[in-house]
Amino acid sequence: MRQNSCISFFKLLGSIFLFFIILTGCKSSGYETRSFYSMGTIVEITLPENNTDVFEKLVAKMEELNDKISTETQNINNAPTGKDISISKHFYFLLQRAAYYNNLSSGKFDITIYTISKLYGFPEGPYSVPDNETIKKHVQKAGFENISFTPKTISKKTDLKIDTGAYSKGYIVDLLVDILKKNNINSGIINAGGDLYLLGTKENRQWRIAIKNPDKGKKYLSVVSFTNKAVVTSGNYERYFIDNQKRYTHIFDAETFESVNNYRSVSVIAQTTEEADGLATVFYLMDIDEIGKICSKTNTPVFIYTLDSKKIRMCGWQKYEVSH
Amino acid sequence: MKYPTKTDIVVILILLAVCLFPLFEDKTTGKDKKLLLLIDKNVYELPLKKQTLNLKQQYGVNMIVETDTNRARITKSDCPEQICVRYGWVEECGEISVCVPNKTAIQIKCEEKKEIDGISQ
Amino acid sequence: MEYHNRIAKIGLFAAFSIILGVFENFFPLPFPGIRLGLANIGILLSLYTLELSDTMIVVLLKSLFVSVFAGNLVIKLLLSFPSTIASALVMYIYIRITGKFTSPVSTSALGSLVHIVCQFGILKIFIIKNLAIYSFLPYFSLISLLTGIFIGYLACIVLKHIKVEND
Repeated sequence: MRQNSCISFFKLLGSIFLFFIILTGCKSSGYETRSFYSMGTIVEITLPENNTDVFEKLVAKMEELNDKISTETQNINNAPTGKDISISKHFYFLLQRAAYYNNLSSGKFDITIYTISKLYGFPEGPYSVPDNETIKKHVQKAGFENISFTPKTISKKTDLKIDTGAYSKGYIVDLLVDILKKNNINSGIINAGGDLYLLGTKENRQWRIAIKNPDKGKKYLSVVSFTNKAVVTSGNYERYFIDNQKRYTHIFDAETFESVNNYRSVSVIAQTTEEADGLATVFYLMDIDEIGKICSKTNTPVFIYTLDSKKIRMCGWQKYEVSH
Repeated sequence: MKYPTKTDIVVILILLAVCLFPLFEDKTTGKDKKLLLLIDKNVYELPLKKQTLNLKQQYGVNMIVETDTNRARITKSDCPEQICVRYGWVEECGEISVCVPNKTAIQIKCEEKKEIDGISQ
Repeated sequence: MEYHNRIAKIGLFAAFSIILGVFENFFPLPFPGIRLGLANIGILLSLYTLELSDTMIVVLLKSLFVSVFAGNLVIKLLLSFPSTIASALVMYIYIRITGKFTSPVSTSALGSLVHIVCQFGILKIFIIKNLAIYSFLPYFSLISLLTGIFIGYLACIVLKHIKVEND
């Protein structure tokens, strides 16, 4: 009798264990991915299945936010100098962040550099190198000190142009993530042309994100895995043109007023997509030592692929890396 | 007791086959790939075989796509930046080459087995 | 089977397993994570000469003591205990079904395979939550198949002597 109960105990234990194996062994994907064009790129959203209404909501919201921000930017860029232009609370936030990044990069990052980069044809082409006279004329107008803003208004001291494209895409992604949370969705990915936010985990494992290798056919530079954070990469291999054997990237240094080609790519992991987006550009402008100082202050892991194809991991990037 | 018995050998051979199976399976993952053509909000699947496709007639975008048995690329496009043409081959799971002005992209998708959920670029 | 004989065998096989298991830790094989699994001889012997419940006691003692002696108790126990139980259960069922036609050689090969697969499962669920380790599984399972066959042969040799004495 005692032995029988003992046997049945082990049978139970065994069947529980086998059940456990079977349970974890079979997984279904259960996710749905939708792609659409918005914010000047392709946006890919992956959510658990049966969230069609949320998809619709996200697409509509993204269009709306993008329209709002680009309309406001255009209004400001077309407005005469000295005039007060009213701004939304979203735009006020973006301006505050612009000031923060400007300060963080000791002036290298500046949303008013669009005054200059526009002359080269960025962001949409066709590209050409403007002559020195034109550049000189516009250089005097640019500069973050030439705009002043309050929570409600902004005014320009000179006829400059601004562009928040470096981090506003990330900000919109963050606002979409808020919508997901409000709809009680706690697992998914929003991928806006390589700017990714990873929400929760994928059923029984973490999301895995690869950093693209600019050299075709080579292995990914790095594969990272994390939860409720964003990763963004700024590179010299997508938006650029070559003139007289010189590579002109879309990233401009506001101190020298020139296009910079410091690294092949800089990737940043941060709590929000907006921060990862902004810092990826800020770091692209800085030298390695300065990046090290800033990233330990902002506590954001950084991965740098240098022009001579060296991989540099900083501020704990390796903690998020998984073997591939 | 005699050992190993004939049944022993049969069982061991079966186990051996079970062990070796995943090794052979891994090499054929290329067959799990799908090539998607995303135009605006529509998704089409293109066959992965050696051919050159002009998208103008069927899809109304002025682009040429070259496909291969396990990869594809955009060889011509009328967009000003040429980012998609410069991108070259899409080959890995999840890799995508996008032409924003034409709202067109080609992407490699892998079923289930894909290990990467997104690419930062 | 006589009660004392049974208790003695449990103790003997458990001690056998523990000593071999601990002994084995001093001779690491060139591949990390791979061991010969000498400790499983004790479990095989008890499967062939004792009841299932007695075997489970051997399994329990072996898992616990080898883990204690090896250090890193929690991880070792987490890895070895469920795997050893699962492999013992599978071997038991296998012997019940095919015992008349098979020898410990294939039993051990099967058990060894179940053991490594379980360990990978546990490793994946609790320790390295990273799918990539699965790519090593085929190689590990091949090696464990070989070690399983080897252990099965050893068990056969020992069993022959036990059987003779029992008669």
